[in-house]
Amino acid sequence: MTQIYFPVLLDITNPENTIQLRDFLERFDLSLDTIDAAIVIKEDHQIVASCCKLKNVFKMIAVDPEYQHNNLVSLMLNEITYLAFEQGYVHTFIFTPLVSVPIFTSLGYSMVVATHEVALLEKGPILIDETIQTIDHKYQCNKTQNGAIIINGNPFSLGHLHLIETASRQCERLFVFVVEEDVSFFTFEQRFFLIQEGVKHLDNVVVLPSTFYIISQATFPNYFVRDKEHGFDMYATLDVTLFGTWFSKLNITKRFVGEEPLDEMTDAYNMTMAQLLPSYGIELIIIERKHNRYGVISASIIRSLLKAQDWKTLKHYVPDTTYNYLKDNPQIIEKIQTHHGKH
Amino acid sequence: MDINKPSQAGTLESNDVYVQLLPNPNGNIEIKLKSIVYKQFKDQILQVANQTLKDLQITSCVLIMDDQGALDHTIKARIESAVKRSL
Repeated sequence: MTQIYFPVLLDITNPENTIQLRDFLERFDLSLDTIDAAIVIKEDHQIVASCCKLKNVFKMIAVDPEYQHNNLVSLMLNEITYLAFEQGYVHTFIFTPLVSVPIFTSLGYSMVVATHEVALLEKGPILIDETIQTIDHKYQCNKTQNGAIIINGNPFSLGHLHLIETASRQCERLFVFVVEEDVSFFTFEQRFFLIQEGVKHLDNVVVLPSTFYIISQATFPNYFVRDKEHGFDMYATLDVTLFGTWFSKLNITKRFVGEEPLDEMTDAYNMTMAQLLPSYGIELIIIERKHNRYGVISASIIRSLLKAQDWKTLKHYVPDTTYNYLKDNPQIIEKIQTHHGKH
Repeated sequence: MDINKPSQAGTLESNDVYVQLLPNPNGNIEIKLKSIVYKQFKDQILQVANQTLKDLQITSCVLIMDDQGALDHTIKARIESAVKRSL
């Protein structure tokens, strides 16, 4: 008789459950990082298979070897896809070791990128090849030698402006990708708007949303939890490989970054880029940070000045466009008073 | 009739098809098909899908199908469920 298995949603607010899940995953050398849901299959109250997710990214998918060949993966994937879809996530990603890729391609997933150990797969109405084609088509990327900068801009500062101005002088056209993932104090719309306004005087600069494929929860979760431990090298390698593989098609030959004297994690990420990007024909150019009379300009200092409502000092940190926007929107000042956290 | 609310139906099991139905900003019908029998039955699956949408008077949607070898009636039933769920 064939055994019938039922995938169930694990209540991860119950610490007993998370301990059980963590112990199960440990057997597969997987560490439990941030998740918002877990689907498991149990037998005799023991977890025999798991599939977790954070937003639209499915990960930590594991099946006890004794229970393999029962289609447990497709059962769990089905359940978690329904859950994600109900939460509004139509475009989903799977993060998995390289050996498991065939299982997921047979279930309708397409490969985005793979490193020597892990792969990122996706399913959705518009996939990476179409995304790149759309950008290419819209901006006729092959007509110029292009540079790229990826900016969160939380909020847009004189430091960012210096970076973009310097970079724009070193390439025919500069694409500024604004991190789309909304986990920062300023929303994506606000950050995008401020960058667009701030670079209006530079006619070879194009401001674009970063898409799912540059520094998103899927490609680089560590960025958002400021975690230099959990699989940092693995994720950083994946993110950079993805950029090299796909965005080089936009005739991007230079990627610019600000040097990072203050942030160990971004510094490590820059190192990864310096190592990997040249093999995709992309040169990494590190631009010295801008200083004002108080020291290095950083967005976190700006947020604390904003919190203290020190408008006079703030003038030395942000361009007029950002300054005026902040002045005109008192609700931001109100919001930042009660805001805690690093972002 | 346009599809305005996303919906889903079916499973990833063998001999089933998992369908997602989404609004289409372009205002026409777009079908994205993945199938384990794509080479052999692509045309027939698309024909069934198009006909089912037509019968239900749908004129605008994105239909994403992950087919694990479903028979025509299954395809039809899954699309129909998705359409009804989106109304």
